[in-house]
Amino acid sequence: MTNLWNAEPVAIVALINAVLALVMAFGVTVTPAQTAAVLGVVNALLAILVRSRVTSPQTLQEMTPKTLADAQNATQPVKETVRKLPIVLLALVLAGSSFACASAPPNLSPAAHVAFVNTRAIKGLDILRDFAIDANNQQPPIISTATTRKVVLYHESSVKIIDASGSGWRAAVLTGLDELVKEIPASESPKLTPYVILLKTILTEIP
Amino acid sequence: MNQNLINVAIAQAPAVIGFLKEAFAEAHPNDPQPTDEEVIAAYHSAFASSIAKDEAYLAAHPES
Repeated sequence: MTNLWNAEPVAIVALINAVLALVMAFGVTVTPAQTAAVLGVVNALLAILVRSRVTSPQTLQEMTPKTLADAQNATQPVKETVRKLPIVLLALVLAGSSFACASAPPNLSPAAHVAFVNTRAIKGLDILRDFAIDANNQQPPIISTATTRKVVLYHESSVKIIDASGSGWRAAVLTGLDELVKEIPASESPKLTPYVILLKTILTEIP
Repeated sequence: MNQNLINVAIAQAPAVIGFLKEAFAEAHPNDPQPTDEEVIAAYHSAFASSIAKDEAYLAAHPES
């Protein structure tokens, strides 16, 4: 377990989050406030533990050449983890897609049913948009402002399509997502790909 | 750069997990069912807040 933690801390973060979600999805009765509190504490704790196993660029600059070499060797597992992060996220997506999306409450009128489904679609789109904006806000930015604008413009147009179309938005929104992917520079595509895949799965699975 | 990407992924995790939990968890038959008005109001709220965030970002980052 020690060797696994040293090599895959972020993978373990993702795994614990996934386990929490599965436990709560299968009947453990917790309120939304309790859910948020548990996830917040777990993620904060794991963020601290992950941080203790990586070395920031600032710290690297202050190190001597010998300790710098030692630190660079120590960060190799983190680089490996970052490369494997999309795989972990993809695993979460596949795990989620193996369960059919929960249906809308049966008591809803047709108009409310459409509203229920469309709310899910909008929240799914928000995940991609919010990641891009948060990544763009980092110093230095992980995603460029130009690319983030493209993501936000796609998001805005898709949400408006959903609002205008009612129930016939799926093909247009998915086609727009494919077009967006083509416009993203190759250097930034790997960072967005896990969230694009997650969104595509969500939009496809929504009944 | 890698540490920042990890931080963003960790920060996004609760939102992603919360969404998946809400989307895939079947409601218990004894759970109170939302009314039409509540569902439609939730949709309008989601639409408005989502568009507002888009417009705020685009206004703060005009096309160069």
